[in-house]
Amino acid sequence: MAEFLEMRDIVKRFPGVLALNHVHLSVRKGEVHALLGENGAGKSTLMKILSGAYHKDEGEILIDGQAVDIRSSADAQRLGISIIYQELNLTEQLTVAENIFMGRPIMKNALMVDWSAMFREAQKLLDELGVEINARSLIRDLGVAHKQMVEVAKALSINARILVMDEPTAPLTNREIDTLFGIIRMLKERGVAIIYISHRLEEVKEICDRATIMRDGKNITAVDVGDVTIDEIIHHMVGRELKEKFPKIHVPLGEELLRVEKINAGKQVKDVSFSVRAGEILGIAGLVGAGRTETARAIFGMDKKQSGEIYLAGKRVEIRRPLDAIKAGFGFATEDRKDEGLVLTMNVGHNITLATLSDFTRLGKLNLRRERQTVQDYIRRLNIKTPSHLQLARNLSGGNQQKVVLAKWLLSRSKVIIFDEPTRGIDVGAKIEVYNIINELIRQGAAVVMISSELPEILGMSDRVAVMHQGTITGIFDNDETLTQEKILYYATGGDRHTA
Amino acid sequence: MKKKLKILLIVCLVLGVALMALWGYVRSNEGTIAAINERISAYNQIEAQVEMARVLGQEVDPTLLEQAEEVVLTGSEEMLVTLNGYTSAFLVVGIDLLLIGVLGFAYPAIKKSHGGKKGKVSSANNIVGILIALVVLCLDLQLAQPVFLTGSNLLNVLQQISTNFVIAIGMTFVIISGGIDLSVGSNIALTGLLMAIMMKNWGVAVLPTLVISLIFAGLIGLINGALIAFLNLPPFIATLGMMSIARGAAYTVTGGAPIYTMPSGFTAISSRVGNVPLYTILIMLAVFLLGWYCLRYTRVGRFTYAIGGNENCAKLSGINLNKVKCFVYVISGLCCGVAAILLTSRLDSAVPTNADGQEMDAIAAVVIGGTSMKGGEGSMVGTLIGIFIIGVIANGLNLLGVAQGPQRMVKGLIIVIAVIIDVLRRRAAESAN
Repeated sequence: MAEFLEMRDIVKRFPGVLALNHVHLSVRKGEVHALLGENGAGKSTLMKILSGAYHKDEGEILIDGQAVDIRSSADAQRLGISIIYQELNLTEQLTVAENIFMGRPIMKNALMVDWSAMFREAQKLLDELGVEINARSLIRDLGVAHKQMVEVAKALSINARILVMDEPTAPLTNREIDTLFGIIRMLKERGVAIIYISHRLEEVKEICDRATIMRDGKNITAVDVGDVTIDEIIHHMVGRELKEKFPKIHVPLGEELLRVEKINAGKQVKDVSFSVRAGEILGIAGLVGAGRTETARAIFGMDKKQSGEIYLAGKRVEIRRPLDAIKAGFGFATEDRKDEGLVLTMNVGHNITLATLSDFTRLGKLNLRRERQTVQDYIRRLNIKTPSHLQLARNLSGGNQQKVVLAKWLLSRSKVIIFDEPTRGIDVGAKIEVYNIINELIRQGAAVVMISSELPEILGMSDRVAVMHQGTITGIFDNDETLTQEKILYYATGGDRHTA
Repeated sequence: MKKKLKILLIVCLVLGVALMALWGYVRSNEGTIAAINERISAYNQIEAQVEMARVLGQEVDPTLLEQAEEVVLTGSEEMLVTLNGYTSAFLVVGIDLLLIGVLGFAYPAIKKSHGGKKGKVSSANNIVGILIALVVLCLDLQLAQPVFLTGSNLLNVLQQISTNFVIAIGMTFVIISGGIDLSVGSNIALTGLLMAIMMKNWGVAVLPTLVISLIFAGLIGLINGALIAFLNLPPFIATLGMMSIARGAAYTVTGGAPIYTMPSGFTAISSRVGNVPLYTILIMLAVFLLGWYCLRYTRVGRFTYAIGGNENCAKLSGINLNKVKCFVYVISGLCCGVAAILLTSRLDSAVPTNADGQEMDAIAAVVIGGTSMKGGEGSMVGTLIGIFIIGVIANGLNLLGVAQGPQRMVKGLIIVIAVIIDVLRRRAAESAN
């Protein structure tokens, strides 16, 4: 079969960096082509060139055998290239239909928008996708999965011939992923060429036909997904053998460090109780919207609790705001690094010490030298890849940003640390490093609460697992052979209430 | 380097050379111009005599009429005379364009010779940029108006910028924290009047007056801060309200009348010691050092950057947002207090219209200094240079005899340009990711 899209010998330089070094990518019609690589491998840069956000320095792009010049997103749209970014590109206050026809509304005449036609067309597109979304609802009222479907409908409406999906499943629950895959297969049948970027290799095996693997801005290889194992793919991505995916360690458990009793907060947290011992990792599993993040926020004092008590090492602690929590010995590495985890305009060093500045203060004066030494020490220990501690946090890759967040809470010597999706959106190599940091914490006798949507991660790292559904804990289990993904899913979708 | 940029730089160089050549051409024809001017003035003189005679009803001396041949300039002569009016402009603009061109081409080379350290991100680049702008500005002014670089004029500049200097320091805190303080000008006016009333009408001694006025100005800042922190008002709205309230209060307390002649102990603050406004300079220096130290070496300074950069993260890191917000507006208020002391003592009078529009100058200085209007980024040293740029421009326009109207237009233009540079820089930084 002929290649539909070909990107040949693409070179892109940034000041001081060769971001893309003669990269090739070719995709056929009706193919789902995985683009794999660690963070910083150059996937996003390549896709930004395809979408017209960047302009290539060298190389050529052919669509259907014809050389094309893509200089703007308008060019890309005209050529039928559509990209669904991880951070969805929708306007929250507008309706689904308005978003689908953003920038090219259906007009009655030169001045008036033909609303009824627009809603009708939008609804038609959505129905074709087989999703139950009303074209008249506002985007902000939709869940993240439905928002993604709106993006897909938008791509269809411009007759996309090439569709790029960047980490589409990251925010989705398993059932939603199935729906998405159904739609991807439908698009395949229609002859759309799909480029699929994901860190979840199991999914790549399931949905993709071929894969192009990149590392350090270079092509490593292109393979038929059916011919390789996940381990081989990982090997290509990281360039080294990863012995164990989850470096789980077992340390002797100590006293009970954290006990949460009957916490109620908002609509999402109902009578949540659990406890964690020193040296223990408690995994919290559940579908998106089960109230896991909300529970963590309530414990940490970010959101108001209506009732419930928190005990630290047997002593009741009053937490009304994050400062109380930090003082008591809590740390909270949030799910959203850009919104809550980091101050992107501050440098790496200042981010690391942000929660512990008082330790570096004497008589009201910051000891910048001691701060610098500590920060450099942590940058080395956590292997944070940054030219210097003065680098702005926004210039780091996702994995390294996450390590900066972890360094912040390591430095605060927290006794209880809550990790919310600690490895979301970061590459395989960095994931292992994050797990090792968590291990280091429990070795030092901390108690860890790990919220994660990735079941292998939950099963691979936790000592015990709590499963949440609609704001309540439906089960807490020891992580032994009897605990399986299926069992967790059963409880995550309601558990014993299925039968009740 | 981008092609467009290269073309632009070449155009700069060519234009610069052309303007310099024009300047040289006019200067080399000075003799011709002098001769032409002599002819013109001779003719004008005769015409005036004739006119006078006509008015007085006398006979016109026929010899005069004979001499009075109208000056007819050839095309080239006319051009020379016209050009002569703009020689200094040619010189200044020509040199600037040449500088831009040369520096523009030299910059990548310099960067390279420094090893082109990748990813070294600091505000130092920025500060070097505005420092160059300041130096070039001073050179231009010196060329256009040689009075500029004299000791007495520079001391004048220092005294003129003292008010703006002090409040821009406070404004730097506010803008880095992601806010804005529009009430500074009114705060100065009201606090100035308070001082005048205390000393003149109530007979309070100078020192207690100063202390109480500072507290008063700080309190106005605290009210701003409290409205913004606890009631979540947008800073623009809260301080806009305060701006109007304080200005209105200033008019109300005296019925709009000014208060003159302060006690000598008070005016001594801005007096000159051997032609140098020593105390003013010392106060400015002290305020700057305090601000610089606080922003760099204290927790609350660091927190100011944090809440400007990302409030959510700051809160999650245990920072008390309300406290920090109140702090920055109190600092701004206190700076207004100091500025009010300097201004009232220098003018030896308090008028409700004092420091009208001062907030614009302060914001301009901060923004020109590289502090981002979005908050989270900026530096005290940058603000310092920004203050001098604003001050030098104002002084230069005065020296060149530009009226107040156009001066304000120029200032507005500078603010807009500074913000455009800020936006472009930000865009470049984001797209580099």
